[in-house]
Amino acid sequence: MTNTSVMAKGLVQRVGMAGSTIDYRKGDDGKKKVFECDILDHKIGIQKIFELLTSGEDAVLKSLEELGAVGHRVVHGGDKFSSSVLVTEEVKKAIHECITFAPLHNPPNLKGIEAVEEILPKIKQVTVFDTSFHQTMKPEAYIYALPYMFYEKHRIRRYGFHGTSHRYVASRAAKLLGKPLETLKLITVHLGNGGSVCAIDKGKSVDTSMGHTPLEGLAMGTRCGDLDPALILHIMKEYELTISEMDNLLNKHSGVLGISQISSDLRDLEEDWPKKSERANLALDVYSHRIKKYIGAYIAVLNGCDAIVWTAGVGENSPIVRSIVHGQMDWLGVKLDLAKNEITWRGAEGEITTPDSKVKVLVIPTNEELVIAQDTMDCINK
Amino acid sequence: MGQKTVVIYGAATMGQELVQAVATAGCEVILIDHSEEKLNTGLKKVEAALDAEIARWGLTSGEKRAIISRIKGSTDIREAAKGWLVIETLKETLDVKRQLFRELDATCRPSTIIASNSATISITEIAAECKYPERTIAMHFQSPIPKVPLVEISRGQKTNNETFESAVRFAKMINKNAVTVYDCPGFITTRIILPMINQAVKVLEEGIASCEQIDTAMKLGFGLNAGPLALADKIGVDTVVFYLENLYAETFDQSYLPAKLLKKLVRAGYKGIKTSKGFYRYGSDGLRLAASGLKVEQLSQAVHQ
Repeated sequence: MTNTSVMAKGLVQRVGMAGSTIDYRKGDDGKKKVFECDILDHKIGIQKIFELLTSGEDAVLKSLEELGAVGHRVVHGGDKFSSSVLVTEEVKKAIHECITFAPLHNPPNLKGIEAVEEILPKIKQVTVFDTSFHQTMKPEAYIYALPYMFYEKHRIRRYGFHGTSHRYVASRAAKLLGKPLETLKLITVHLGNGGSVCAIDKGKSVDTSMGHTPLEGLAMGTRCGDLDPALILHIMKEYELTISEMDNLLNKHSGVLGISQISSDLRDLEEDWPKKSERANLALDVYSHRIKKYIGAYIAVLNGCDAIVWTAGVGENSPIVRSIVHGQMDWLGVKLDLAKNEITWRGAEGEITTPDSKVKVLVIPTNEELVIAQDTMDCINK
Repeated sequence: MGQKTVVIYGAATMGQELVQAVATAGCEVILIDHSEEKLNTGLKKVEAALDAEIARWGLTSGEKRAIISRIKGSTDIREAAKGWLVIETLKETLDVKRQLFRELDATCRPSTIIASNSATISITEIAAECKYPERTIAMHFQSPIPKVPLVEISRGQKTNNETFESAVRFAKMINKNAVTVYDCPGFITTRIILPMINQAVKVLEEGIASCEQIDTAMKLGFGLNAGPLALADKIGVDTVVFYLENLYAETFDQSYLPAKLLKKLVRAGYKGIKTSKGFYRYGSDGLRLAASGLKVEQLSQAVHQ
């Protein structure tokens, strides 16, 4: 793709529930308009998107004929997909088979594909998987130390997520560093609501902190991340919790929210930092310590590191977390430029280390939509 | 509202639990009770149950807000016309249920499904005076409804396929496994559990074993969540007697003849958790007190207190 520009963007929320809405804006930074409408299912949602694109004052297309292809994000591709692919019957079947890995995400992803199919039966569609980038991991990185039968029979292994984002910022980092991606060892830190760290050697993912589900690894907004698995059994027994209660405890009541009891949003904890409260500080410290630990581990896995890249909501906008993580990392070759760290946020891109820092630290705003568009273009031109 | 709204009639325990389960599953719910006081108590208890879920990490406060926003209350039966499905949870007596079904039948569009949560009364009997009995069906939920992933569905003589299929779809929507029987009062669960409770009471009555021993033996021996006497307290001792009498009238099977002690307890106000005493004693929080099982030698005094 030689020339990319955003014609329109938007978001459909609360499909099938009361009070569903569509956000829509023309162009990359047009005025956001929120439409309230009854979106009973994904097909109606996609119909409404197509309507907004082709009619009304903010229309950007004369007709749907102008669309060349539709790209979809699909959360879990299991070990069946190591790259983005054109949608076929087999692909749909495979996505269906991966529902057991992502019961909340894959079904709506599939519904989106089928809805487009119904409205535009002839259009080409492409799926971009969150997991496919990590398919280059070797068995030593993805096999759990559980009876091997679980892997053989149920494909229980580590998959990793946020692949689209890790892949995008890695290639963008190579551009900023002015070196070919194939010569670089990178560690990318994607911190949004969920968070994961990825070790990338020559452009390929060799390890990542999320596992079979997005619960493993870092401490997140409301997710616990790495944990002594015996604790799950102990807590369930002690409090007589059901499976769904324990599931909620780990996914929705833990992380920085669980520790601070203030908020799952890092911005709330960073207000007045470090004077807000001891627990807010503790939550930030636990959050940051875990990231530091993974960076250390991945420097060992990669046997070196050219640059560490921060991205997504928290990664792009939290000089505080970045300063806690990179404080006292000079032995590993990281020297943070505190002034640069402070001003690089809110969409800014750039290096935040001193010129003599052996390992560079970069902040790069992620752009998953762009990757989806580019992959879609590549797949239909194949 | 509209298409997705479910109406629950009756704000007692079963009604509260059903409202909680249905609203948690994402449906809009209207809880109706003719008594404003019972309605308000019912709604308050639903909120308390959601708070208890939060305390056990089962819900987040954001999710609770969303659930509460889906629940409305009313004392006007005409509100039932707003639902595509109405489920009644009134007292287990034929007259009461039949009367309500007649009123709902006249209030709701003929396409609205009217379901009864009755455990022991034939749905055909309940719907006998309805003009459109083809849209009636029995859906028996098991308490505590938010936790038990089961609903027994029973078709009446005139229930049509569309009604039956919608009921099965609804069960799936609120994450319950549906087991279906054909117009069978007592379904599977009530029919099989009642003789067990009845026998357990007789074992106690004859002085063979204490409450605790009976419950422990059955719980551990057969992997049950609760022993039969604790279960009777949970269901309500009076309700157990109601169920037994209904099923005896239906089947003339001796195993449904209520044990004498059951009736004695009811007369003395020992109705289970809801009255803080039954086969065991309970604190105001509904939790069983330690070593509070009814003693055989105290039986005569206990029931005459």
